[in-house]
Amino acid sequence: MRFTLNGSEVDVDAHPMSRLLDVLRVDLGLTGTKEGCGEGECGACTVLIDGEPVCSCLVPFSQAEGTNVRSIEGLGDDHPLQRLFMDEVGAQCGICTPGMVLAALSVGESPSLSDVQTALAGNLCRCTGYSAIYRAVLKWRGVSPDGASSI
Amino acid sequence: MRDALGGLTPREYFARHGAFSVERKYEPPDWIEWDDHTYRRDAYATYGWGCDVAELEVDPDTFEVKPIRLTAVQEFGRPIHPALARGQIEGGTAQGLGYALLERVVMRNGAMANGQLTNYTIPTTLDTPEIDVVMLENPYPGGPFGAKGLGELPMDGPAPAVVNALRNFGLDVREIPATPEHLSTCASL
Repeated sequence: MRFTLNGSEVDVDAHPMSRLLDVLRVDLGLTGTKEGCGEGECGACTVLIDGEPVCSCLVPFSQAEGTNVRSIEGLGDDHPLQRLFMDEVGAQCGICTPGMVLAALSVGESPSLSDVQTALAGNLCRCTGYSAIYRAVLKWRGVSPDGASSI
Repeated sequence: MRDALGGLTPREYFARHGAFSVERKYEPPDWIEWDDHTYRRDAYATYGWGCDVAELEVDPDTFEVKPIRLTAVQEFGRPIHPALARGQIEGGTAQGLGYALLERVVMRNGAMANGQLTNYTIPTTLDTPEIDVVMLENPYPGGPFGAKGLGELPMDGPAPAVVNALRNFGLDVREIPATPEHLSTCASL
């Protein structure tokens, strides 16, 4: 089956009911996408399908056919948001980080703190208490974390 | 740091010479004494101190608790890496909040019966309010480079602070997690 992955056409021979997560990690060797709970609760395995964040552990490979999939590898090694996650220490154990970064890409211009919280509500983080992640995302969108409105 | 690296930044040093390693072992100072027969004196070389304040809203009909703000004041010697230390405090405080309000371990036949994130719920972004962190810097001579341990300290205070806040509403809370189901039995109506 063919789909677009991080801008390139790929053709993978995998079972149509394989989890997209396993196709990425096992068939394609892209281990940046992490498996957390494996049941759609934690968001660690988030990738973007046609720009929308989805839990790749819940997506049968057949549903990815013909779509545009973006995984964390698609951001390159020096995306400004990734760098801000580093600077603000938005990652501790790091398992939630790839999904968190991809989910955060959907945050629009001049977000309030509440906008960021809502965008990331499907991504659990056990280590950071989310605060450093909020700071990274707000700064990425040009908002001072201290002045961020909570509405 | 620059002295140890011959005037180079860590990045420059790594590029030129590769990894730099130093091995040292922490020895507690000799004025910390522990008597293993009588179990007296200092069992640990360092003690951190903390104080937490929880500000909550409680829905009197549904007993839903919404944390508005948490303040964590922590004294743990000298923060060697303030950004990481702040992250430890924020993360531990959020875990303490989950302990207070959400996280119930159900044991059945000696095993955890709710070991999935579907039935053991931890705080999401929408359950985690702003966390104000105050680090009281106070270098401690008994710890390495003036530091004390920090990982566990921030988890201790939030649940007592949350329960105290709930008791201040007139809810006679005696156990955690203080779920709405439990709080409905605590109300003295």
